[in-house]
Amino acid sequence: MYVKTLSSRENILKKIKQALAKPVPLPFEETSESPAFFINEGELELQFAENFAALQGRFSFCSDEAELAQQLQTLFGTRQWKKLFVNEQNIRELFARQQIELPPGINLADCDASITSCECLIARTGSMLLSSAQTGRTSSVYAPVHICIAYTSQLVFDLKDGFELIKRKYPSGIPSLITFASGPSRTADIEKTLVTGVHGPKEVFCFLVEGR
Amino acid sequence: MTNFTATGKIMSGKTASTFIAKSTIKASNLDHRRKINFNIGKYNAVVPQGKTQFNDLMAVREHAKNTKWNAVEHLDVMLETFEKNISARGAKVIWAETAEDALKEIGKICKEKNCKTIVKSKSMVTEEIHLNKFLEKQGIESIETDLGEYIQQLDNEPPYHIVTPAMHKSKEDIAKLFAEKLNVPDGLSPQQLTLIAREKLRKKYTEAEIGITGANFIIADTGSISVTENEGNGRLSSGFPKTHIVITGIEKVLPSINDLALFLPLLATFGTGQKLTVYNTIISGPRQKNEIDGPEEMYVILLDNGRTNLLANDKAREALYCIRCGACLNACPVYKNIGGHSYGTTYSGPIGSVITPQLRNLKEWKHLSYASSLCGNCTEVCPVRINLHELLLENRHESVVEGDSPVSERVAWKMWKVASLNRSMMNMANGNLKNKVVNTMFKAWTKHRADLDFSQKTFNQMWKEERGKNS
Repeated sequence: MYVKTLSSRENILKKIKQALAKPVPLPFEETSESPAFFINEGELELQFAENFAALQGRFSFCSDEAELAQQLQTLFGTRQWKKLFVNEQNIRELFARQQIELPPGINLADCDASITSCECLIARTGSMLLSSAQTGRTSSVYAPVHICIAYTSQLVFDLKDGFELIKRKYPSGIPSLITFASGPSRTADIEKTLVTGVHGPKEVFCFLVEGR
Repeated sequence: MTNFTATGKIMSGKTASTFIAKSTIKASNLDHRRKINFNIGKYNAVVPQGKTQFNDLMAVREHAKNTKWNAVEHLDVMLETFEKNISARGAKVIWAETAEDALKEIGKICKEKNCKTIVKSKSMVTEEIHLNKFLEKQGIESIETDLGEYIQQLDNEPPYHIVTPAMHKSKEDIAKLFAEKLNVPDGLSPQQLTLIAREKLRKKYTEAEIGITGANFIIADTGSISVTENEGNGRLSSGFPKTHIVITGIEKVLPSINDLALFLPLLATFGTGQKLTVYNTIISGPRQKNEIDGPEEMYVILLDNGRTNLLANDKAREALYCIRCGACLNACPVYKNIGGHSYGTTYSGPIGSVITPQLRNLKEWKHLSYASSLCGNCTEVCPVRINLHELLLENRHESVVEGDSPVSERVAWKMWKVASLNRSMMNMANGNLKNKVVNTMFKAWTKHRADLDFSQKTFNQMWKEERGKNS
């Protein structure tokens, strides 16, 4: 069954090796190994808040978990969100600690909002780095609203720092999926008109809690 | 002088004449031009904002080209490393020499999984191998989930642009299309139309047996593929179905996951003017143990389909560095006038004109290399600094060397050379005679232009007269 595949592999590699027998020179010899691509200006909290808000993300700062709980309760109350989807143990524990009620048996498919943590926050781009090992692949993208709870200790400057963090945290192999999520799902496929909430969440919240 | 041949003399064969016919019609279609200028105008307005994120953009672009050079010069090692690493994570890597090979392998997987429905995210490689047509013949419903591609699929048209598939349609056109095909009221707004697509597709993600995505990058050192998108359909297509198939060209390799820290923002800025697109997803295998969701199986199909021809051509090899951002299409005066569909190729615009003759067949597709004013704007805007306009010239050169130019043109140029190297012959003819000879000899030139009007006096005469006056 795989005979054909095997020979395709060999044929392609053979063609590549033959072609590369004639090398081409490095295009830009003077360019340094890795120039400073991006400049880190200002506090990470501030950079993240500005960049995330510019993407229509809803940012909130909380000085501790008690304030987080208060802000969440207010949000759930004003929006009348009852069907909250949580699949992470640490978020369940946080909610239990702060006595926020989580109704049982909520499906991702018909929830009001999904609440997750994240691996880290990227200040420069206003992105959350999410992983399949932590939140799974679907919970942060299928719900109409995504709420992410993060701590100030999780802030890093750039994507590069995010990759390093992941490799450090998972030395025996990175999660099968990581994604940099930057604000609500959007499209500009119709006359380049910006519309949010295409297939992913229409609203994305980030509650940044001081500490940990 | 190069442009003497620009409009058709060298173009022979059916593919070329179709191209010219379509281009001629589109170029005079003012409605088409209005829509394209509107869209590209919006693109041009945001790209400078995206560029401000880079400290030194030129250094970044040079570094990016060097990085792709390194990847492509070691392509065999890169692909083997990728294969080893992603296989260790439980994914299966399949090598396909041609489109037919790739389709056969996909067909086999579909049969094995008893697949009825596929959700697929945007991928130009799947356009290249005509995947949807193949799946349709197997009785499998393959749904385009990217909004632009969904619109194009509803209209039964290929994508018009590699990044913005429905760029040539106004919102009114799309509202009308939705009304006709989806039984919704006419005249809906972009917001309402988007919401309809969301509702229609939401269930499909959870029902489909297989999800198909492309890959913007293949990462050797971690054994990963990277998908860049804004809508979330790529994440959903690789999140819910039990089987995930990735189809990608072999040239998409980057040596390290760390390279994405530059290439993701670079692709976003040059593709859509963003700092980073909304979702950049890096997938390294199917669901691992201790993970709560994700596909049970993942296949990665590595497609050659002519790419090794480009690799073997040491001049054109750098065309493999392309990251498919579409910047050269948006910058091209020819693209803006004749539109994406006139090319008749999967990859349109300058990059398409460079690679299609090499990927497919120089003789049949060489005419695309002449559809250029050689203004060099494509080279100017390319994030990885591919010398696009020089490669177009290179294609022209190759086709002439291979004897693909018509006899009449070769004779004409030979006469031109003899005459212009011979002063007394030049002096013999007055302007009227030159006009007659040139305007009849190079018919292709005068087809879309006014006749050339030579001076009545020869240069030699004028030189003598001027000199005589001064001395």
